[in-house]
Amino acid sequence: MAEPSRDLMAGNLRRGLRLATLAITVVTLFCFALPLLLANSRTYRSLPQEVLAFAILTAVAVAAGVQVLRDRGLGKPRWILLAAVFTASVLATTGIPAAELMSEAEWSYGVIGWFVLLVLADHSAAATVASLAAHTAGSFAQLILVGQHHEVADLVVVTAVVLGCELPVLAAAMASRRLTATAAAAAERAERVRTAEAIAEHLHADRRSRYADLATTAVPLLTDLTTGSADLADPGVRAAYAVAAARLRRLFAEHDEVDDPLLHELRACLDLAERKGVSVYLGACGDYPTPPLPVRRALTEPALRTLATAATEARVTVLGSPTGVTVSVLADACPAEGNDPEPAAVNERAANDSAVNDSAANDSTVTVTRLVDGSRVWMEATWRPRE
Amino acid sequence: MAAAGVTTVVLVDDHPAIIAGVEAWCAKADPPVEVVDSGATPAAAWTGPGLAADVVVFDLQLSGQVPAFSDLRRLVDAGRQVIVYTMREDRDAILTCLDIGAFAYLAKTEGPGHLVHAIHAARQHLPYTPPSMARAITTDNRPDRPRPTPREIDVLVNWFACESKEMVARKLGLSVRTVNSYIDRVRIRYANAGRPASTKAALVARAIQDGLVRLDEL
Repeated sequence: MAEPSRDLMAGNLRRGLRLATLAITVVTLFCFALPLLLANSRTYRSLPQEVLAFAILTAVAVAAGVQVLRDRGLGKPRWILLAAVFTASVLATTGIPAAELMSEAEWSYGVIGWFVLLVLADHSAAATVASLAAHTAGSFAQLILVGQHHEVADLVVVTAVVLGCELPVLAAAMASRRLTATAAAAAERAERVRTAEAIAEHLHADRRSRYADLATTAVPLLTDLTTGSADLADPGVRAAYAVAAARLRRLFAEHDEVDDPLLHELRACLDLAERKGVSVYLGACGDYPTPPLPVRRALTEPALRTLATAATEARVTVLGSPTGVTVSVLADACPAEGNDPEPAAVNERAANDSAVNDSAANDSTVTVTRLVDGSRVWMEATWRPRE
Repeated sequence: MAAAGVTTVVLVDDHPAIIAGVEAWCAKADPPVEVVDSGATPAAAWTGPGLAADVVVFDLQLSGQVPAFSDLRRLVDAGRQVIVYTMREDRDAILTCLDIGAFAYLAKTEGPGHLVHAIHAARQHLPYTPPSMARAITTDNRPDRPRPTPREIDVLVNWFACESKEMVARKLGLSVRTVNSYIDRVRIRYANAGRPASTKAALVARAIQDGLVRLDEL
């Protein structure tokens, strides 16, 4: 939002100043210079030369005026226009007898400076000042060269009046440009601060929700560990720690940008079991859509739980079908766990809980099936998105 | 030449550890399996004792970057029973090997159970579909593919998921025999499709003989 308004502001300032310069230039040319030219037509050494100078300035005013009114820059042609302005100046001041240079018949002196401003002011202050200085110095030199030394004081007065009108416009142009730059920088700074704030807020909310999850799972386990009340000789307790650790790994994996988040998070769940020495096969079969995060958690939960108690090997597969996706886990449970139905029972309840939560949000459910064959357990979590 | 009752195998694989491992599995197999020769190139299967071996266990990814499909085709055209045993698990490689006429395709993640089983089945021209092959078949989407029924797909996917026909049978409420017949019938339909090969014809003929499929079903 800040970007366009900033541009608009800068544009308005620049455009207003250019329009004002154009208006002054045109008024000076037609209301001040033209009557002088007409009134003194007999004074000139060469009237056609004066008329040509006036015509050139009119053409420059039209060319620059069109661009100003269309709110376009002058581009490279501005240097051609500048050359035309100086040509006109030379024509006008040489078409008049030397004695008349400081008389009112010399109509061009007060006009040229405005044309310089019109053509250059929006481009560069330095070039404008240099051109004005060149014009002024040229005029003084010409006056002395043609032997009108006694009129130098007059030219100083006239120059002071003319530049006194022109330089404030240039100063205003420079000030507006500076103002715009400052405003732009300020807007950019404000925008950066806003973005940083939004990111920080998002991160904070993210961390809070993650902590809320962990506060009920990992934190009590860590507390038990520090107080020494955890009985690590009990395989059930060890399994609880393994589950919490695998959940943490899954949590970290949830923030990675990957093509297949389900497979990626599943791999994170298996990592710990593999480190423990369980040989894990992970394979996918068929195509499946990417389920939303709560569904992915419900789908990976049985695998995570089963692998916490796996003894030597596990086969984890993701099976896609036109109707949904299934995460299947086949593992040999440790004998101690095999006799204890508790982890699996908790397992199914946890999965179903998240399924219920999820169904409210996504209108879909995760169902978990469990099949025990001797020491082997086969769990399947299936998600069928509703059409 | 090995004695009757002993299945003879030649191994074509460029990894000595794989050769040693397969030899160890075969030594423990019952009924017995004897590895008569092994080598890093297909030459092992074309010369000496390897030429007469019942089954060729063949690594598709021999030293070169390109899968050795042409070597496989030459072996199949000579009427050899070839079990492809390789690192690759991708569907296209598996389906290509089946089309060429390999007896079975096993990924190296699949252990001794499947390989020894496949070696025995290959000698008797009985179909054997390891899980990775089952997966490739269920995800086959070529236009001229054989079309298994939804129930057959279901059985194949579950077989891929748990590698135990007993558990698949329990889960789907079928007998193990029925599960086997579903898997085998799909395999036979693949043997009957695509490029003709004598090994594929032998598999189909044996299936008809055993009453696994009827001629009009094909």
